[in-house]
Amino acid sequence: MSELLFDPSTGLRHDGRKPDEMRPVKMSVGVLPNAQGSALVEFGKTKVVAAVYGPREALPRFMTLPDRAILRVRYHMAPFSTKERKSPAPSRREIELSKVIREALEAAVISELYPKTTIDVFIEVLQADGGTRTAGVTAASLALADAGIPMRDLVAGVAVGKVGGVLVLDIDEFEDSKGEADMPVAMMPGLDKIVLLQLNGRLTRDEFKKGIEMARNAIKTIYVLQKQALREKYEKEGEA
Amino acid sequence: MSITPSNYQLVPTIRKDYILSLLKDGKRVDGRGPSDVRPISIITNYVPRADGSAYVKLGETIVLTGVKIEPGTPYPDNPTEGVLIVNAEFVPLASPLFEPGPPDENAYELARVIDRSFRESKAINLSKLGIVPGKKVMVLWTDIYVLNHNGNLIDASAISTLAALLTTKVPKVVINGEQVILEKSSDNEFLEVNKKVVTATVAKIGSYLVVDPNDEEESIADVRLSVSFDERGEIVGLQKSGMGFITPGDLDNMVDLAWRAANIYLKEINEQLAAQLSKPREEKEVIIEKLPVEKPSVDEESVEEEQEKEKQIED
Amino acid sequence: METQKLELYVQNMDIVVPGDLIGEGELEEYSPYIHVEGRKLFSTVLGIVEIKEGKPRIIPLHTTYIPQVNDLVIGIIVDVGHSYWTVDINSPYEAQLNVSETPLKQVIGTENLRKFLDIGDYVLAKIISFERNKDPLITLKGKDLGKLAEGKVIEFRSSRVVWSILRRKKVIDALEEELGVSVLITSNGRAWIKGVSQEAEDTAILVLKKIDYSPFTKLTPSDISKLISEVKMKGGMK
Repeated sequence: MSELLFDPSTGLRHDGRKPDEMRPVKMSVGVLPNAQGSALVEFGKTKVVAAVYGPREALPRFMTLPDRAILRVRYHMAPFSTKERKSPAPSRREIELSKVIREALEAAVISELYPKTTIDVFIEVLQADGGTRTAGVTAASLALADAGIPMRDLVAGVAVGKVGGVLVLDIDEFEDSKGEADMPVAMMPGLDKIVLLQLNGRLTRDEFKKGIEMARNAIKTIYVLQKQALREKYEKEGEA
Repeated sequence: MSITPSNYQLVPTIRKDYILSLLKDGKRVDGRGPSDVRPISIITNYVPRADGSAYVKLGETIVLTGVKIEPGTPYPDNPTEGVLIVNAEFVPLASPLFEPGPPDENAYELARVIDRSFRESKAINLSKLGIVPGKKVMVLWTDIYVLNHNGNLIDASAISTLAALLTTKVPKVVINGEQVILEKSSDNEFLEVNKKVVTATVAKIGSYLVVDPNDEEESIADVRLSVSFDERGEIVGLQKSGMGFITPGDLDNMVDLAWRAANIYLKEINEQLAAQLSKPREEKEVIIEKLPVEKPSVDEESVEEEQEKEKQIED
Repeated sequence: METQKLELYVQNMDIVVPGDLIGEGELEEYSPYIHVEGRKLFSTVLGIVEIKEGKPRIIPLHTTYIPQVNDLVIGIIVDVGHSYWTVDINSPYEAQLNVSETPLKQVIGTENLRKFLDIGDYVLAKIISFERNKDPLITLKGKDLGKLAEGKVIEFRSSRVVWSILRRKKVIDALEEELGVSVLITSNGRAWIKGVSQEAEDTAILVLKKIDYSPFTKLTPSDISKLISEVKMKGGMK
């Protein structure tokens, strides 16, 4: 089956979306009972779960910092999450993304409140269809809020792409494989601060500017959904 | 798992305040202005045994990149194209902060940022590197060796990688019945590089932006943005690193500053390489490989395979 | 004309989430639950707004206990050493109880320490110090402090409960009177219940658990009575 990136008559993407349209987004908070905080986030077929353990005693002791908590972040893809089975061993990509996501969360978490402890954030990609790191950081931020860890703001992210010369929002795997650029962006939306930014591909200065704007607007929508998911959880707390 | 670094160099507050007060006046501790780059020196063919190499000094940061071309298997969706594999080593002798052992996340990040800049921009003409379609192609093993860390390893590595690739000679393929021979000699053609690509890093210290941060500036910077450009100014890579944030206003300024630095890097590369490329090189060895090919060593295969799989993971 | 020092965009009992703009202006007291950016004030946690005398406070739904000097805490002995015990105080930090901070005099040696307090024993203690690079230190020297030999100890899931109950003495009084128990709620999210009978203690615990798991934002003594009869009728937690 050969799929076209764009329908020539309508200009819609291969899954019927407009260039600036996101996939359906679902979020739920508090999905893993053992973790201090957890969240499940879906962007179309991409499914990511995040769990937070902590703040807890950091061992070994020499790893701790005297005036703040350390963050330990693991971005990992389940072997069955990708088209071809992926070995469970951490790949270079997962190592890089773990760092990039940790740095995004560091900007938000008020780690000075818990010196000498560790806050562990585990992100597992259950199904990968593009935008896994931005879905991951979105879920991680919800999990941190669920765990009651104070943050300067939530972190929300989305990936913008360039496909067939057209800037598109929330790029999926098919589009990424055929496209010219993939730019994941994450922000603290309430403070208008960018905390994650990468580009894999090529963009002119002008396309870059427009791409960032597209991401900024979409992130505002994702932010609203995050807050809704947290409030829903609060209301559910009543159910014993 | 990525862990908040606890072995960072602690810059005393007095020093940090001094750096900030200088920046207020548009000055830096080493006398540079915010958009000034440190002195660059490039020595190509530093390791004659390698197919291409470049020893680069960016201020006191020293990076040596070596390119070795060996036969290998192509990616399934590009059966006739050569393969680029970029690897980086932060060897312990380069800094008191580097521990012996497997590469840490910073080394992986650096290698991947440089790799992406060359890959996405299609800077190298890989189609000329096939040997036997679908079975054997030439693999450009590009190893970035950090020899001295005094800040801004990414830019130094980018310059060194470009210089090495620009002066890499491609072996001649001679098929003799069952045998495939890669003949390496100084008469060979240079690797075809379609466009020159560099990466320039801008650091944000407080509310000030500086290019080419040195070691000290890097350790007090809140955030860095590395921007990869091709000669026309198209952005072929971006990487924000560090635990701080970038405002949308900062973003524009940082990309502008990075482009200015990138131009300086490109100028240096053009000038310094022009002089060196005119000099003759010595004879080199010949590699003989027979068909059907033996399996490459375990290490090499797993990196290649991994790269293949990673290409398929779209994110 | 006077400019308002503080303008609030939220009301008492409003639910807030991280990033919600709660107001603009000057905050008199620092709070980890309010992030200040210029003149803007944001919530840093999921919780409830409490406004007292025009001053905003956010009570988080869940927090981690960070020891403060003079806090009353209920601890569990987790290890016995040569001259001190290691105590779990429901915090990422384990506390240390030195022999010198107990009624024991000149006692040394694990075996001897174990005769006084063994692993699994509960204590009511006070935080005496929490310094950088050291574990928090607790003491049993003080009025009513010491080993909790009788009664039961429970841990609250929600920090909000600790706040809302701790501050309403009438609520605790109501619970104590109706059931004939005495209830002590400590800063580290635990409670000690002692009653005249096993049944009384158990009922009190179930009532407290119900409060812990419910979205009660304001408790009154009559709420307590209602809960008690609910619990007694059902004979257990829902």
